[in-house]
This record gives sequence, structure tokens and C-alpha cells, in this order.
Amino acid sequence: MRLHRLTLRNVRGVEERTVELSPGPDGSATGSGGTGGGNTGVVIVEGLNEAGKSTLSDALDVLLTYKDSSKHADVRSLQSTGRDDPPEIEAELQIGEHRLTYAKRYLKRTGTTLSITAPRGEQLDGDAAHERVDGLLADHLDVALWSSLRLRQAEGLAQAAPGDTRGLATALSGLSDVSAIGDRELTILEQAQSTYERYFTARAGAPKPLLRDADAKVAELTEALDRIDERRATLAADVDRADRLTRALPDLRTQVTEAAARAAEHETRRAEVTALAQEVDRLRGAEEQTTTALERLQERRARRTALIEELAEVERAQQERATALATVVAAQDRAGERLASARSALDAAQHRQQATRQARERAQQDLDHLTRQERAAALRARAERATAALERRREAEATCAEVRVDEAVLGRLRQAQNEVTRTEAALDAASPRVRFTANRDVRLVVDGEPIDLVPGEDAAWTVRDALTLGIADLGEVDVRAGAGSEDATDAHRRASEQLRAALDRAGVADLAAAEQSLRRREDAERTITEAERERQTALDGEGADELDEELDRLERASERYLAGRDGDHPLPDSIAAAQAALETATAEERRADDAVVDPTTEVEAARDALERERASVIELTTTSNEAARRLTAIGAELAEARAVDADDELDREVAAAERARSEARTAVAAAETALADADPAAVNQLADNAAAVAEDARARLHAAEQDLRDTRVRITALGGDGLWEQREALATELAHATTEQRGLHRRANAARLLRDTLERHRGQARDRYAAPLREQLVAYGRMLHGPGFDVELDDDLRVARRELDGTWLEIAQLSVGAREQLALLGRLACATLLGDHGGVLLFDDALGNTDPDRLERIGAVLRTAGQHTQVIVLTSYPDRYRHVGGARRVSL
Amino acid sequence: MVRLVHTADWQLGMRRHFLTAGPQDRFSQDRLDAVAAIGRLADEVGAAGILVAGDVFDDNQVDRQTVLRAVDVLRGFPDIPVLLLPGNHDPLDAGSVFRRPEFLDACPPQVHVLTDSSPFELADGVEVVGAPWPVKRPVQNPALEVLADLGPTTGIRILLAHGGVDEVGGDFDQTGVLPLATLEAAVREQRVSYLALGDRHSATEVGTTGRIWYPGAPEPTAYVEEDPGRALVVELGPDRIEVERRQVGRWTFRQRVFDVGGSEDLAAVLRWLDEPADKPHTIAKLALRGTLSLADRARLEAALDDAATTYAALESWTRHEDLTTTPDQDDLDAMEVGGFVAEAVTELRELAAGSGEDAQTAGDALALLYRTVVGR
Repeated sequence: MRLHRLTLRNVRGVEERTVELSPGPDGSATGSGGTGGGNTGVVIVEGLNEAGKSTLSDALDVLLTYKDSSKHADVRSLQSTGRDDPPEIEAELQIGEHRLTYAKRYLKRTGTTLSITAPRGEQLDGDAAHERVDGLLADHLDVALWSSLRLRQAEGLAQAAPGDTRGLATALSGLSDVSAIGDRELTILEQAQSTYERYFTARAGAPKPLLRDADAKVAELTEALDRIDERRATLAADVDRADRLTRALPDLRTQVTEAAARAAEHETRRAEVTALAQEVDRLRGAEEQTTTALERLQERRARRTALIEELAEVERAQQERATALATVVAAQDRAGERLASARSALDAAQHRQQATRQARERAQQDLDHLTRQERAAALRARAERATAALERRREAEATCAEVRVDEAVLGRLRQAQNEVTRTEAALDAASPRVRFTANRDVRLVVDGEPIDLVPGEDAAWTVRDALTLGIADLGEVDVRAGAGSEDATDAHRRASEQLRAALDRAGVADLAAAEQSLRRREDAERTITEAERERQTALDGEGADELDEELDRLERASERYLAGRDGDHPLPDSIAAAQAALETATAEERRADDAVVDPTTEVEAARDALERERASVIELTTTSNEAARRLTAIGAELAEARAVDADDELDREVAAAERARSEARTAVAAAETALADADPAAVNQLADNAAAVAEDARARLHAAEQDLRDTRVRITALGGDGLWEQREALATELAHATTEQRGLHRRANAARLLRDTLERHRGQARDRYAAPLREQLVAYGRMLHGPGFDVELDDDLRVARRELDGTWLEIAQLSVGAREQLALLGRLACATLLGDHGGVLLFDDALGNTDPDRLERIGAVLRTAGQHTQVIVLTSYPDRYRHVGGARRVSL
Repeated sequence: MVRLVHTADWQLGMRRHFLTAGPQDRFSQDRLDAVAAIGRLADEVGAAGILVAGDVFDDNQVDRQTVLRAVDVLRGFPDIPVLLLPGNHDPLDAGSVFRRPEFLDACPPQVHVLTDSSPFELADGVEVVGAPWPVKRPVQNPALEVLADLGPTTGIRILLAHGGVDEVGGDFDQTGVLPLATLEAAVREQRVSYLALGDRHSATEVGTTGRIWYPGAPEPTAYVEEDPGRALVVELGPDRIEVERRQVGRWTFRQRVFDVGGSEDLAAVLRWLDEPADKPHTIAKLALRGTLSLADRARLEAALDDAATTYAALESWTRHEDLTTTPDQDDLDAMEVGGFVAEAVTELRELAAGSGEDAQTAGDALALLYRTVVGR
């Protein structure tokens, strides 16, 4: 495609502008050796920013893309600023061999006109015109690739990815003899891929639910079929079992009947033996009765004999007892006499014993009395001593109480005395001394006191305060102590007052009296100690009161004793006499005591003897009475028994009973023999066994019948389910599922194989035709960078790595400038290869980061590319492109 | 002189695994209709009785619904004795379908299940002796025991029996097989006037006496059957017999192996597929051996797809299938493929020319490509 002219009206800030884009005279001249003569070349459209360069590019896009009726944002973005008139775009284009003028008005009074002038004239308008141009574009170039090849300012670094678009592939396939990735082939691959994705996931190639579900359904149905077959097998086993049991039942019933018959036979025999045993029992009972009757008779006869014998014996014993009683009564009387004489002897001895005891007691009391009196005298002496000592002590204590001076008081008095002496000395020292020496006799009156002096005699005074000295009649001298003695005077006065007070408290006149008082007090205190010691000695550890009480008690006891004493006997005159009397009395008493022993013993013995004789009499009397009663009873019993049967009659009855028993014993023996001969143990065991056999047979029959019933119940339960048809239905479903699964897998495998094979060959093909693109890119690159330039392309035919003078770098490692150059070179290489199949290569100011030296070389590249395709560069910096030779320059 | 209808092997409740739900329902219903047709046939010919020689049901454990429908059809039968013989499919064991309440409760009075060999007096001087199968796998065919006990008769005696006959081909179960010699001896010795057999699904005259017959199944059940869909009308006198085969079924089974090498062979296949007039009641199975181009294969598959929708069932006879797909020049021209696709096609062609599963997959892949490109 070639763009010859573009006219805009009322588009954004442009009121009307026509840009001629056919290459200029330079282009024509230089392009003469190229492919397209004057129709190829480079156009540099220059203008300041916002001059409308981008508007040109956008307007061309809108014209070729949107119908005039479109309200798309791209369309609305073209709306004029400030004018109401709708945007109009008109382009003069060459598409293939078609030369045309194409114009559209958008948004208001919309319209499209198309005028084709070559190869044949054609006029269209409206949607028909739009569709005609669409068709021409689709026929001659790949719009998507064209769009991707455009390089805008904002995306200057991005490379085009021609590997994904078809235009390049189609173009390349025409240029080389390699099998190519044509439009049609890519469509086929897409369809194969989409078929493949029906069965497998696009990326991992994992089976999709369609396949998995089919597999799962087969597995599920197989399992269900197995389950139902198991139930069928169970049912079949039960059917077999029921048939087997049904066949077995008649035989089991026969066994039951036969066993029952045999058991009945054995029961009859058992009954016979039982009858024999009962007969034996009955006869044994009869024999027992005869034995009992005989024993009763024998008993009666024995009893009668015993009575007769007892009667004789008792009578004889009664006679013997009468004789013995007479003897015993006589002995009893003798024993009574012996006891009486023994008692009187004992009474005499006891009387004498009493008298001696009283005498001994009196002697003892006399001795006690005398001893008591002696003790009372001693006590009295001690009490008197104690009383005297107490008296002394009390006197001394009174003295002590009277004297107030002790060692401490005396010490304090002495101290006060010393203080008075000391202050006095100090006062004397401080006081003026007046000495008067008489030259003649003279009378002095000192403080009113007259003193007469003789010549040569002197008198002196210490003036404590003031001294009035009258000297005869001469006058009076008044002496006064100075101020310096006042303190000493005070101190002396205070000491004197304190001494006086202390003496008053001690109750003494002076210190000497105090010392005397102290000595008196010490004497009294010693007396107290001595008197107390004396008193304690007299009391000898007892209290004075106790002593008095004891004495009082002793005296009262003596008085009482004397008052009560028998006066027939004189009181001994001494303690010794009393002791002698006591010893004599005690000996007398002991002798009297001894004399009582023998008579006492004799009394006891006599009494015992009497008791014995008396007991014998009682015993004999009692026994005799009992025997008499017994005799009466025996007589009565005998009479009663004999009334029933006489003695000889009883003997005959006994004999008859003995015979009857003998006969019964014989019958029992015969029956027992008959029973033993029948062998009852064997008969019972046989009968028991037969019964057990019959029971076993019944049990087996019962079990079989029960089993059969149970089995039939199970058969009915399972058999009614229509298991066969269920199984067949499942098997059918499984067969269908398996067929479907197999078909699915077959189709899936085919789809995968087709897709994999196509994909592989597409890859190989792309690898092959990547070569021309790379060659072209390298050719341009070497124009820019010299022979050390090379590149590697990736699957999308973008530059992956670049080599420069032996150094390979990943695209991301390159500088911004290098990347923008590579992006430009890639597009130019692509467009170069596309040639007429390409569109217009529009660059929107693409080389902002390229240094001036490179710009010159790029100029050469652009010029070369321009010989194959139309290149329009929109720039605000025309200077960047001054190195492009033969370019048409359009200034906006 | 007595006239009877002899049938067997109804096998009600049977399912065919190659049938999908719709055709299976049709098949089941038509098989019941065929039984009903037998009742009408008996009415039409004035038969004295209907003898069913075993396998009334496909199994003792058929659905209750199947039993009820069968009984319902039996209730529509004319009022003449209908004798049912338990066969190897529905033996008289503890689980017998004939003992199930749904059968016993609704079964019309003129229908009799032969549970032992006591003679059934069908008409004056005409007795039927049955040899019911007591279990699925007896030690020997119960008919042999029955025959051993039968002496010569002056009347007409029919033995109703079930099982294969040793001299008659067919892949029947060898359990309870009947020796032809024994059967013919019984006929010759006038112990039996007519042997009404069941088991073989093809209507067949057995031996040379003219008195031993299989009626076949009333509707076909398998491809191998030779003359199915029949019931026999038997006219029997003391010294004469006449047996007539009457059509009662409407279904057809057909199978074929085709050798194909080109479009003409394919045309034969397509004609064969188109032949049947009543495809919804036809079940077909075919196998193709040989090589087809992509175009032919596409035509074949389209035809098979069409047939699969009209036929009751269309099976691929995989045992005999051996078909290679190879694109010819016309295929390639038609596909107009170039570039890498052409290279891929070359590779797949080589793969498809080989053998085994990979070759088949490659053929399938080519066919898929062909459909994708040419649009079938």
C-alpha cells in the first residue's frame, strides 16, 4: 500500500490540511534502481509538538478502520475543537494495482465516497465503499501486522512480534522456496488445535472430563455389573441349596418314622420291667408291716415281764430300808448330846478371854496417858522460850523504827557538813577582815556587843555583810563587805540551810548525834537477829500456833481420860510401871486366847456329826415313800395290761406274728429274683438310646425344613428383583459405554496426533523462514554497527539476543538507545521483506535516544528500506533525519 | 387328526447388548407382539392347543414387569390349552419364574406349566408328555428318562422336550444334548407321534422322520440364526403329518464382511447398507477389509453415521475389521494443503501405511484433517 495524499478537515485543531506524501524528486531519482520507482521512498513529516503529526496517523487509522456511522471513541477523539463542522478525512491511496481516492465524514452529515481510477474506473459510496476498501486491504496486506509494525513514540522500545501474524509468513513464503506458514495452513492448525482441546487441556495436554468421564463410567458400570453378578451367584447357590434340601426331605422323613417305631418297641419292654420292679416294692412293703406287728407284740411281752420283776425287787428293798432307819435315828440322838456338852466348854473359855482383853486394854491406856502428860510438859517449856524471844525482838524492832539515821542518811549529812565547811572557808576568804589592836584599854562595841580590850590585845572580825564597830566613845566604825563577798555569802547560806534541813529530816541535832543514833540502831538490829534465832530454836520447825494447839489437845485428852477412867484400879505412878503392867496383861490375854481353840473345834465336829445323822434319816424316809408310790403304780399298770390279754394269751399272739413275717420274706425274695432276671439296666439304656435316635432324626428333619423355608424366603426376596434383566441392562449399558469410550479415545488420539504433527511441522517451517528475516535484520544492523553485528530470534521472531563485536547480550541487557534501534530495524526488516504486501510504515518520532553518529547510519538504513516500502516518519526534530538521502520532507 | 401350534424359545426379558434404549424397547415389544401373533395364528388355524417347548423366559430372574406382560399376552390367547415347558433358561428349580406369585396369580386357566411327565390329555386320544428341565444343568436331558418309560401307543402322543440334538449343527449348550438316534427310534417304535422340540432358534426339521421339529424363535435374536421368526402349524393324524412354517416375527439380523479397494467396492457397501426396507427393525453388523482413500473413508463414515440412526443397531464387526486409510492424489488435491501441513500429511501417510494401532490412529488423524479441510 502506498499513501499519496492525506487531507483532513475539521479534525481536532486542524481546520483543513493536505499533506502530500509521495516521495520527492530525490526519492524518485535514488529510487529508480529500486523496486517501485517514484512510488517508494521515505517521507519525513516535520512539525512542532502538537502540530498534528499524530493526528495524521490517527486519522488514517480511523479512515481505514471505522465506518462513517461509527461513534467509537477513536472516532470521537477526532472531533474538531471549537468548530461544529464534522471531521472529514480523505486519502489518496495505492493498494496493489488499485489507485483510489477514499473519503469519509464522521459524526454529522456522515458519508463515504470511493473513487477508483486504476486499473478500472469505479465509483462507490456508503458502506459499499467501506467494504470494497476492506476487501482490498484484506487482499493485499495484513492489517494486524501493519498495525504491529507501527512504532509510536510511547512504545519505541517494543519489538513487533511478526511470528504470530500471517502476513509476514505469507510474504516470506513467496520470497523463499521453503514451505511456509500460510494463512490457510495456520487456520488448519487452529482448527486442529481446537479439536484437540475438545479432548485435552491446551497447556498440560491432560485428558478433559469428556475422556475422564467416559473412563469413569466404564469403571463404574463394570463394578456395578460385578456386584449384581455376586448377588446372582448368591441366588444361584440358594436355588441349588433349596433343590438339594427338597430332594433330601423324603429320606429324612422316613428316618424319623423308622426311628420312632423302634423307640416305641423299646418303651413297651421298659414298661414291663417297671411293673416287675413295682411288684418287688409292694411285697417289701407287706414284709415291713408283718415285721412291725411282730415287734410291737414282742415289746408288750417284754414290758410285762419287766413289771413283774420290778414289783418283787421293790418290795424286798422296802423291807431292808425299814431296818436301816431304826439304826440311824438312834445315832442321831447321840450326836445331839455330844454337841450340847462341847458348847458349854466353849462358853467358859470365851468368858475368860474377854476379861483378859479388858485388863490389857486398860494397861495400854494408862501408859498412853502418862506418855501424853510427859510430852505436854516438854511442849510447854518450849512455848515459853519462844514467847520470851519474841518479846525481845519486838523491843529491838521498836528501837529501829524510832531511829531514822542509817548509813545512807549519815553519808548525806556528812556531805552537807562538808559543803558548809567549804563555803564558810570561801566566805572567809572573800570577806574583809578587821583587826583592831588596842593600844590601851578600850571598849569596843561590835554590832552592839561590847568587847573590852587591853593594850596589846587585838581583836579581829571577818565582815560578812556589815560590821558596826563602836570604839569606846570615840565613835563608830561602819565596815561593809564589798560586792565580791556576796556570792560566797549566798553559797554559805544555802549550804547551811541544806545541812539544817537534812538534820531535821534525820531527827538529830548535829552530825555527832547522828553518828550516835546510827550505832544505836545497829545494836537493835543485832538483837532482832539473835531473838529470832532463839525463837526458831524453841519452836523447832513448828509454828507457835501449832505448838499451842498440840499442847491444848494433849491437856484436854488427859482430862477426858482421867474423867472416864475406872477408879477400881489405881493409876500407875510412872511410865515404867505402866509399861510393866501392860506386859503382864498382854501375856494373860494370849493365854486366854489359846484356851478357846480346842472347845471351838469340838463344837464344830459335833455339829457335823449331828447333821450327817439327820441327813441319813431324811434320805431313808424319802426313798421309802417313793418306793411305796412305785409299788402302787406297778400294780395299776399290771392290772390294766392283764385286762387286755392274759400273760399266756400274749405268748400265743407273738408266735403267730413270727410265722406271718417269715412268709412275707419268702415272697419278696421270689419277686427280686424275677426282676434281676429281666436286666432292667440294659432295657433302660436301649430305650433311652432309641428315644435319642428318634429325637435326632426329628431334629435333622426339622433343621432341613427350616433351612428350606429360610432359603425359599431368600430366593423369593432376591428372585423377585428381576436380577437377570437388571444384569443384562447393566451389561448393555457397559457395552455401550465401552464402545463410546473406545470411540472417544480413538478420536482423541487422532486429534492429538494430528495436532502434534502439525504443530511440529509448523515449528520446523517457522525455524526455516526465520532465516530471511534475520538476514535482512542483520544486514540493516551491520549498516548501523558494522560487520560485528548479529542477532538471534525467538519463536515469535523477535530479537532475543544481540551480538556486537563478539559480545552476546540478552535484549533486556541492552541500552535504551540500542533497544529502540533494534525495534526500528526489526520493523524495517519486516516491512522490507513484505514490500508491496506491507502497508505504510509509519514511525512516530522513534529515535529520541540515539546518538548523532548513529543517526547518520540510520539515515542510510531508512533510505534502503524506503526503496522497498513507503516509510513515513513523523517528527518534531527534523534534524535527526537530515541524513536520510532522497527523502521527501513535508513541513506542517 | 389334530392341529396344533408348536413354538418355543420366546426368551421373554432378553436384552441385546448392541441395542440402545429405544431400539431395545422396540425389540422387547415386538417380541411380545410376535407371541401375541402366535395366539392369533392358533385361532386362525383352529388349533387344539399351543405347545411351547421351553425357554418361555430368558431367565428365572426376569423383571416382574416382564412376567406380568407375558401373562397379559397369554390372557389374550384363544381358549385352548397352552402348555408351557420349563427349559434350560427357565428351569423348574427353587427360583422358578413359574412359581412366582405374579405369574401364578394372573395366569389364565387354560395355560398349564408342565411340571412333570404325567400325560396331559389335550383331546380325545391325544396326549402330551412333557420333559421339563428341573435345574439349569441336569446330568442328562430329562427327556431321555421320560422316553425310557414310554411304551408304544395307539393314540397320538406328543413329547414336548427341550435341548440340542447331536446331529444338528449350531453352537448350543452341550448340556442335556439329545441323541438323534434315540429320538428317531422312539418315533419308529410308535412310542411318540411327534417330538416338539425347543432350544434351537432356527426353524428346523430334525432327522428324516418328518416328526421331529424345532420351530425356532418367534423373533430372531442373533445373526447366526437361519430361519427365525417362525411358528409351526402341525397337523397330526395316526399315520400322517403335515408341518407348516408360519411367519410371526418382523425383525432381521444381517452381517457381512466386505473387501474394499476403491470407490466401486465402497458403493457395494453403501448399497448393502441401503437394502433393507425396514431398517428400524433391522440389526446389522459389518466389517471392512482393505484400503480406502480419505474421500472414500469420509463417504463411508457419513453413510455409517446415517445408517446408525436408521438401523435398530449397526455394529462394527471388529473381529474382521482391517481397514487402512491412505490419502490418494485426489484427496491431496481436494485438501489443497501446502506448506507445513503438506509435510505433516506426508508423515501421517507413512505412519498410516504401517500396521497396528498407530497406523489406525494416523489414518484417523488424516480423516480428521480431511473433514476439517474439505468439510466432509
